[in-house]
Amino acid sequence: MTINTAALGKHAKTALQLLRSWAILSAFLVVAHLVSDHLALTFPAPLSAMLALFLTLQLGLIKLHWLLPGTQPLLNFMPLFFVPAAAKVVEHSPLISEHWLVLLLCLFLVPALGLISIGFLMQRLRGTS
Amino acid sequence: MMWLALPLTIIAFLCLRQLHAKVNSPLLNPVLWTIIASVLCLLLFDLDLPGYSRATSPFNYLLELAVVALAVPLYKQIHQLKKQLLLILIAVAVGVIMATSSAYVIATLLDAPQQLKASLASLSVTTPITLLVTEQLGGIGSIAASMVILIGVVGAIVGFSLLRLFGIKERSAQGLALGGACHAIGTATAIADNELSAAYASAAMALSAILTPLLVPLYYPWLVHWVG
Repeated sequence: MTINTAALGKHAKTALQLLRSWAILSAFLVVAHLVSDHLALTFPAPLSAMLALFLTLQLGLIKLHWLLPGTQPLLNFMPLFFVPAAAKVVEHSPLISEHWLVLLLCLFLVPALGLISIGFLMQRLRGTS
Repeated sequence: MMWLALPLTIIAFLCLRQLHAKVNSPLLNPVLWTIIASVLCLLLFDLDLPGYSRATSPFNYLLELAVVALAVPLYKQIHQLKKQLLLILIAVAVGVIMATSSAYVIATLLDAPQQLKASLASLSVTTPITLLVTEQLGGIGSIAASMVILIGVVGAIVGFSLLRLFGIKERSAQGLALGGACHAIGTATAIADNELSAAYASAAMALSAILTPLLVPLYYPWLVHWVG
């Protein structure tokens, strides 16, 4: 019975920590949406919320350990959350079949140029600094 | 029937992730194959897209929450790489501009419509950010998201070889390039290779998530004005 109570207490603590973390994230998100709607900003609200949270972490107003229980599972499963958004690509199959060459070239040239430019610049800048 | 979309997506993703953990090949990327499976289901069963969107709408909220949660890895990485922050910022910013410019020029040369150009303007950033930025530019989020994932797979397969071919042999530079140009999947490749590259790749991915929504919406109208 004692063991069960201890295990229950541990689970309850984990659940509360997760809720606290998600409550903080949700509060930042809701405020960012409200500000964004009120001021008619074009900058995406979730990104404003991310920047605001980052600043409050830097300033020490929010502690990292308050967030970790909720952010770890969210980030771990983040790829799953954008599956439906990407699957809606079927809506645009005529556009894709018409411009497949643009997409194919971008698929190889964009990462190639990105890799080379970032890698080359970093190697050169580190060499001169 | 449509209520099954959400649990089936979760089950497919978890099974494919287990498989990926066993085989560990970028070609078996679980997100890519979950998207392919979802697309095939939508086509084969002729499912209606608005219904699918409604059934999977809880993911939208979780995705927005996950974007906010990206502040945590950014905070951790910035702390670690403070001394070289300026160098890293410059390199990643150049990478973002390079990706936007190259995609725009290719699309313009091949006479792509403006909506497709906008869909290809933010390809060197992690998928949730590209969805937001593409929407802001008037592009198609699903095309951008699919391209970003495929670019990650390409980077994971050829990234290190391409960098070595061009004389980029420093591990910090290799990691930064993989995280900056090929985001999460590139970062996973760097993590699998060595610790130094992994730290730089994570920092580059986090910084491109901040720089892309700041730079691309300002740079893109300039490109439209000057390139056409």
